[in-house]
Amino acid sequence: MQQEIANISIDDAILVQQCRQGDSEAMERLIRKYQNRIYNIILKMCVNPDDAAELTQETFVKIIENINGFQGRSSFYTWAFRIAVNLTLNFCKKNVKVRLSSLDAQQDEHNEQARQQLKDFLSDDSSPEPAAIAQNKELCELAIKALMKLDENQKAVVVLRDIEGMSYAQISEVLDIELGTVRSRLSRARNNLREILESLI
Amino acid sequence: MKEKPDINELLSSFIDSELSERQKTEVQRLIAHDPEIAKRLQQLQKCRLLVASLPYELAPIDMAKQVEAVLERKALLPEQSLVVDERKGARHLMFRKVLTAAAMFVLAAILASVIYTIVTPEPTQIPMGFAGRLELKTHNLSAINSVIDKAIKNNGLTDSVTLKRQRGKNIYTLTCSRENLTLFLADLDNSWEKYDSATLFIETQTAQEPVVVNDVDAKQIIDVITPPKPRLTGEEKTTQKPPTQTQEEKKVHLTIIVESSE
Repeated sequence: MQQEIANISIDDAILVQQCRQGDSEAMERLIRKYQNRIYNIILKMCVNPDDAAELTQETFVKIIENINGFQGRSSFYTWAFRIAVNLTLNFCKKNVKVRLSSLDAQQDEHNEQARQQLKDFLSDDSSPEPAAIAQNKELCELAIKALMKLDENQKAVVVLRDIEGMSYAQISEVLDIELGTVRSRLSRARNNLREILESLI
Repeated sequence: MKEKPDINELLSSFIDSELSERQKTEVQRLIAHDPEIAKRLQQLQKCRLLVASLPYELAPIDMAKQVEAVLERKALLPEQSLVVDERKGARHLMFRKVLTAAAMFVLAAILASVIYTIVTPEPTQIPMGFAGRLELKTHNLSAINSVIDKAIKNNGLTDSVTLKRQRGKNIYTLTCSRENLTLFLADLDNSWEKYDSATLFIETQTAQEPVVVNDVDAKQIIDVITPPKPRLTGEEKTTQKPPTQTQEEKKVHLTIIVESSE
């Protein structure tokens, strides 16, 4: 993983340089390289695919517009994600009421079967394959709803760590917080998530 | 002093492999000896697994094209919109300036009008030296009329008099200088004994009703129309009123109604 990030960084430096020189092909390559990862974490934070697409687009526009100001003190990867997360957090904070009321409206739709599946998953000592979980649509819906109930800042650390797979140091850079804060915030977020999931059963 | 991390924090960092070797060993020891902690760890791992297993969603395939389109639009539009905005802004600013100036002008006019009303004295009528009406009653109307006519001619007041003859009554309206009226009245003085009654009505600026003087004679009227001589100070001596105003002040107006007593 670390090796992969290091390789990405070397590529990024070249692409960033070419972008600065107005190379539209390099710009396209940079977008294609990160679009799915950025879209994926934004979608996990804001749920709505249209909002996520728009925020992703806005993120890249901002990246290209500000690429000359990118100093290289942090990696391009964390810099780009910082832009994406900040935009998403601002968006989510503005639309929190709409999102929560939408979640409440869907609360009653969880059928007994979904609840049972979640109960089985949490109580089962074995660890199912991630692919198998991903195919369980109802279980995933419950997980997304639990994630949405988290505080925006807690949700951001969970998404960056458990979905994007960032190290604590990278999360610290992206969110511009202390390493200790990443650690404690992630711990609280996971505990809250556990409680939320248990409450859904 | 660094605060000791709580067990949840240690467990959370443990599943992320973000602990030091010493902390890792400590957590492993806790898990091995405390089933509650072991259970808690398992729950956290399940939560993490659940979130990490959420389907990986792909961005719209034309994302790069969309971004390029937005960038192109932004590159073109800001200049245009800036120009439009600047023009709009300038127009708006100008409109506001004009509106403010107009409002200030109106306000200043109102204020000036108020101040003018307060400060300046009541507009006075053209100052007349004297204005009044003399009602004469006589048994010999024709004789008196001829006396008056003669006095008018003698004093060159023909152009200053209008005469209205009514049955048993002649109305003379004189507008002339004080001096001429004084001379005119002095001429009438000799015939004053022929009047049965003489009543003077003096118009004043302060009172609505004229001041009535019964049984008045010519000398008294002359006294009335002659202004008292002011006591002049040195400063006032040098002050001269405009010629037109002085002339106006000298003018007098007298209506003489000569009526038959019969």
